Amino acid sequence: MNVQSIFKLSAGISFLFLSLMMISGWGLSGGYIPSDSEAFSSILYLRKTGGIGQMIRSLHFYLSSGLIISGFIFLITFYLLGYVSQYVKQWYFSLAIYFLIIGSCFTGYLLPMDQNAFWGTQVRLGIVETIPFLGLTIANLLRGGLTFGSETLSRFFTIHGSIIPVLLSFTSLILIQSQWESIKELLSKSSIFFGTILGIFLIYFLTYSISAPLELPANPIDVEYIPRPEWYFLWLFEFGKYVEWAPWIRSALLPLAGTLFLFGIPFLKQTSSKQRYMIAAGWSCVWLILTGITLYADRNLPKKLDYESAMFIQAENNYQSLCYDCHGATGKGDGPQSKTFGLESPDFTTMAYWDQTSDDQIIKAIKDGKGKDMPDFKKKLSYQQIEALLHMMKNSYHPNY
Amino acid sequence: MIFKRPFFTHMNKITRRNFLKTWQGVVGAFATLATMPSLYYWWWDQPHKPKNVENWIDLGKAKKITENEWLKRPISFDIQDRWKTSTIKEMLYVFREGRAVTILSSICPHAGCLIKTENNGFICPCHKSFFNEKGSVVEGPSPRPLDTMEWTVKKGRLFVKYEQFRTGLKTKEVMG
Repeated sequence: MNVQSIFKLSAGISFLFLSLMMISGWGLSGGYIPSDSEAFSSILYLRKTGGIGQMIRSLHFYLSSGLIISGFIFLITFYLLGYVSQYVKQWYFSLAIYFLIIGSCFTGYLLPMDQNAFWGTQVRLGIVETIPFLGLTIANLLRGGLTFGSETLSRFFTIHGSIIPVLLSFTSLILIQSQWESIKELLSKSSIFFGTILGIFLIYFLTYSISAPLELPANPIDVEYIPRPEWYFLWLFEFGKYVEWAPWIRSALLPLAGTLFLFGIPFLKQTSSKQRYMIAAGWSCVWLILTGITLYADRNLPKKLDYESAMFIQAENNYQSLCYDCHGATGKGDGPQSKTFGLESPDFTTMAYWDQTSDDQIIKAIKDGKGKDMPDFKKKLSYQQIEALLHMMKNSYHPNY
Repeated sequence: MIFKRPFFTHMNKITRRNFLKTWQGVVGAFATLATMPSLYYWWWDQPHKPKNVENWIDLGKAKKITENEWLKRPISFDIQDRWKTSTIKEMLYVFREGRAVTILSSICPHAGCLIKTENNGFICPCHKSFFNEKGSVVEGPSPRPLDTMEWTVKKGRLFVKYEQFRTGLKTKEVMG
C-alpha cells in the first residue's frame, strides 16, 4: 500500500464519516432539547432505552474521533505527496473542513451536559479567555454572558447543529465538485461500492454493541470532579504546562502559527519529498511525545465513572447517611435507631422480603414514606437516585440477585 | 447615441469564469449582510452580569461556623439571561478564627477548575496547583493566590460579597 492509495482511502473514509456524522446528527437532534434541565435527561433516556437511539449516539460519538484521525491522515498524505502547491484551492478547502470539524467537536462536547461536558467546556472557555484582546469577547459571545448561563447550551447547540453543518456542506460540496472527475472514476469501481456498504454495516454493528460514555449530570459545585481534555487535545494541554508564565502562547500564538503555517504551505519554497517526510515525522514525534508524557503523568488518576457506576456509589453513600440509622449497615434492619426504639424494619437479606415486595412498592416507600416510622425522601432524593438506591439494595442485599 | 455602448456590454459575453466571479461577489455580499444582524443579536444585551452581585449573600450565623477549619459553603444567586432568570450555584471556602473570617472562591485562578482541600491546603486537580492554608501558591501553574471575597458581619450573621474573577491572569480582575 503506497502513500497515494492511503491518500485516496483516507479521503473516501473521511467523506463517508462526515456524511454519517451529519445524518446521525439529524437523528439525535430529533430527540434532544438544548436546555439546562432537559438536555441531560434526553441523553440519559437514549442510554436507558438502548436500541437504535443508543446506537446513533454511539456512532456520533465514536465517529467524531474517527473523523479526526482520518482527516488528519488525509491532510498529512496530501502534504507528503507534494500536491499542496499544485492544488492550492483543494488544500484550503480541506483545511477549512478540518477546522470546522474541530470546531464541531468543541461545541458538541457540551451537549450531553454531564460532568465531563460541563467541566471540559468550562476549562476550554477559560483557555479561550486568555487569548489577548479578543479572548474575552469570543468567550462571551459563545457563552452568552460572562458566566455559564442558560443561553450557553442553546448557542453551542446552534453552532454545532446548524452553523457548522451548513458551512461544512458548502465547503465539502465545492471540494467534491472540483475533483468530481476522479471521484466518479473511483465510485464506478464495484469494490469501492461494496466496500462502502460493508463498512457502514460494520460501523452499525460495532456502535450497536458499545455505548458512548455518559457521566453524572453537570454539577457546578462538585469539587471532587477532575476534568480531563480529550486525547486529541492532550498535547496542547501538556504544552501549556511548559508555558504557564504566558498563557497566550498556548491559546493564541501556537494555534495562529500553526494555522498560518498550514495555509502558507503553498507559498513556501518547494521542498523535496525527503524533506517533507522529515518535517511530517518531526511534528508527529512532537505530538506523540507530548501526548505520551501526559498519559504517563495521568496514569494514577482515578478512572472516570460512567453514569451507572457513579449512581451506584452515590446510592451506597446515600444508604449509609440516610437509611443506616434504622435499616442497619448490612440491610438486616438492625440499625441503632431500630434497636433503641424497637422499630419494625424489614430484613433486606431474606428472600421473604423480596418475594412480598415489588419494585414499585419499594420506590413508593422511599419516595412517600411508609407507616409512621419510615420518612419520605422525595425532597432529598431525585427519582433517579431512588431508582439507583433500589438497584443498589438488590445488588448488595438480595440473596439471589 | 449616448447609450451606444452601455457599460454592461461585457455582460453579453457571459463566460463561465465571468459568471462564477459575479456569483462569488453576490454570495459574499449576501453572506456578510445576512450574518451581521444575527451576530449583533448574539452580542446585543451582552455581557450579562450576576443580578444580585451588589447584594450581600447570607452565609448564616457567624458564631455557628466552626473555628480553625476550612468549611465548604454552597451559595446561589440569580442571573438574568434576557427573559429568563436562572439560579447559579457556586462553592465557597470559609475559615473562621475568632472574629477574623477568610472566604475563598473555589474557582482556581489558573483555568477555572474547582479546588479541593488537601492536608491543610488546597489542590487544583486539573493542572496540579497547590495552595497553602492561606491560599497562596506553593507549587504549580496558578498565576496568583486563590481569590478572597469581601465579607462583613451584621447582627451576628456573616455576609459575603460574591464576585467572579477572570482566570489566567496575574492580577485579580473582576469579570465585566
